Amino acid sequence: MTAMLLNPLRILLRLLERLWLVVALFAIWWFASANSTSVYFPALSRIWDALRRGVTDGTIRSDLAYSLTNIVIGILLATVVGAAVGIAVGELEGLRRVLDPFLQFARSVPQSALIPIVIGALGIGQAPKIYMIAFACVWPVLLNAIDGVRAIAPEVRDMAKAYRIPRRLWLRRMVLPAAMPQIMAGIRVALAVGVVVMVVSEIFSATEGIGHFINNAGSVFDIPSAWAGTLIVGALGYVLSVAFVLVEKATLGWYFKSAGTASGAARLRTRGKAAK
Amino acid sequence: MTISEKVYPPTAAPSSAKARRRRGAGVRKRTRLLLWQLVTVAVIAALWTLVYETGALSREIVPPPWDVVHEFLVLAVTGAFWTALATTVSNALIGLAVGVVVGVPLGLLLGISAAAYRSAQFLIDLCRSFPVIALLPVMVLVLGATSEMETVVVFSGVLWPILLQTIYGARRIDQVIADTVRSYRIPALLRFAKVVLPNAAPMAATGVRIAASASILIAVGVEVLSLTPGMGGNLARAQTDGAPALAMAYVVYAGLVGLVLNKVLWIAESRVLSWNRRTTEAER
Repeated sequence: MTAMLLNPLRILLRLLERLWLVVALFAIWWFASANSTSVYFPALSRIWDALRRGVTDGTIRSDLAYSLTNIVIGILLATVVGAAVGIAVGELEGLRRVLDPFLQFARSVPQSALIPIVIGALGIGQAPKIYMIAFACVWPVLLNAIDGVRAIAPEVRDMAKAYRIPRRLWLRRMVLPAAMPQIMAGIRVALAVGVVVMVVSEIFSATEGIGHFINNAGSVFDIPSAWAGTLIVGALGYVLSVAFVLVEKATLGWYFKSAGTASGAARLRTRGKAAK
Repeated sequence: MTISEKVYPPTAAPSSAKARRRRGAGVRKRTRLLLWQLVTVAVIAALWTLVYETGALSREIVPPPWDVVHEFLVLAVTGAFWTALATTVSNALIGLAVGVVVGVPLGLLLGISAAAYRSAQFLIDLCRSFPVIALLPVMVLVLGATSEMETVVVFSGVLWPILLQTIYGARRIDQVIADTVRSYRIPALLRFAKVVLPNAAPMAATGVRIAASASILIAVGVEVLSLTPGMGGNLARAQTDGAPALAMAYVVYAGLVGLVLNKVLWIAESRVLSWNRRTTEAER
C-alpha cells in the first residue's frame, strides 16, 4: 500500500489533518475573547498569563505534584486490591454468586457522594484522599478482573485439572495472563474515575492540590486562574490517558498481536464491549 | 436485588419424579444462595456495629446501622425526599437526552467520513479525558448553583461515551458487507439506512447505557459539591448539619437509583435490539 510510504510531506499532511481543528478552535477562542470585558469569560491571553504566573511562582507545580501523588498511589492500591480480590472471587464461583448483588450495588453508589463522609471521618489530610481515590477505583478493576477470570474457556480449566497443575502455577501462568487484558480495561475506566475523585476531593476540602487551586481561585474571583487550573486538569487527564495507553501497549503487546488472528479479533471485540 | 427474588416452594405438582427432583435441587440451591447473602448482610452489619461501639471512627461521622435503616424508611414516606429524587433524576435525564440528540447524529457523521473523524480525533480525545467536574467552580460562577448548571455539566460529561460508541459502531463494518455495497453501487442514502444505522445502533445503545449511569453519578456529584437542590444537595447538607445517618441513607438511595436505572436500560436495550443480542451472545 502507498500508505506505508513514509514520505515526509505525507506525514506533515497527516499531522496537519489531525491538529488543525484543535489549533483553529484555540485561535478562535484567543481572538474572539481578546477584547472580552466579561468577568466570567476572560480573554484567553489573560488565562495564559495566569497559567504562566502560576507555573513560574511554583504554586501550580506543587499543587500538581500533590494531586499526581494522590492519584498514582490511589490507582496502584486499587489495582493491587481489585485484581487480587477480583481473581479470587472470579475463581470461587459460589462466592461470586453470593457477592454479586453487593458488588453491583457498590458500583452504583456515586463515589462523590461518599467524599464528604470520608473526609468528615478521616480529616482533610492526604491519606483520606488517597483512600477515597483507591476506594472509587477499586470497583471497575475488581468487576473487570472477575469477568476476565470467568472468560477462561472451560476446556482450559479441564485440561489444567486433568494434568493436576498446581494451584499457584495455574494462578500465575494461566489466570493472571488470561484476566490481564480485562483488568487493564478496568484500570482504564478507573483512571477516569480517579481523576474525577481526585479533583472533587480537593475541591471539597483541601489545602493543596490542583482542585484546591481552582476552587480557591474561583472563590476569590480570580477567574483567569480558575480557568487556567481547569485547563491544567484537562491536560492532566489527557496526559494520564496517553501514558496509560503506552503502559497498556507495553504489557499487552502479545495480546494485541494475537488480534491479527480471527479468534484474537473476536476477543478484542468482546473486551471493548465489556469495558464500560 | 436478589434479596427480593421469590423462592417458589416445590408444591406445584411437577409432571414427573425427575422434574420434581431437579426443581427441588434448584430451589435448594437458590435458598442456600439467599441464606449466604443474608449472612453477608449480617456480617457487614456486625462489623459496622463493632466500628460504632468501639468508637474507632468518630460517632458523629459513622452512625449506627439501625439509625441508617430508620432514616432510610422515614425518607421513603417523606414528600420532600421524592421531590429531591425527582429533581436529580430529571436533571440527569435532561442532560442525557441532550447528549443523545447531539452525540448520535454527530457520531454517525464522524463515523461515515474518515477525513472528518481524523480531523476531530484529537479534539475528542482531549475532551473525553477532561474531568467535567473540574468545570464545576467555573460553571457555578457563570450559571450559579442551579438545575440548568447541573444539566449543562451532565451533558458535557455524557456526550463523550455516546459520541465515541456511535463513531465506533458506524465505522465497524464487515469488510464483506463493505465490498458488497461498493460492487452493487448501493446509493449513499440507502447504504446509510440499511447498513450504517443497523451497524451503529447496538454500539450507540451501549454508549447511552454507559452515559445513563454516568449521568446520575455526575448529577449527584455536582449537587454534593455545589449544594444544588436535589439528592446530592440534601446529602451534603445532612452531613454538615450533623445528621450522618440521614446522609448515609441518601447514599444508599443514590446507589439504588443507579442500580435501577442500569437494569431498566439493560432490559430496554435487549428489547429494542433483540436481534443483535442474539448474535452477540452466539459470538461469545
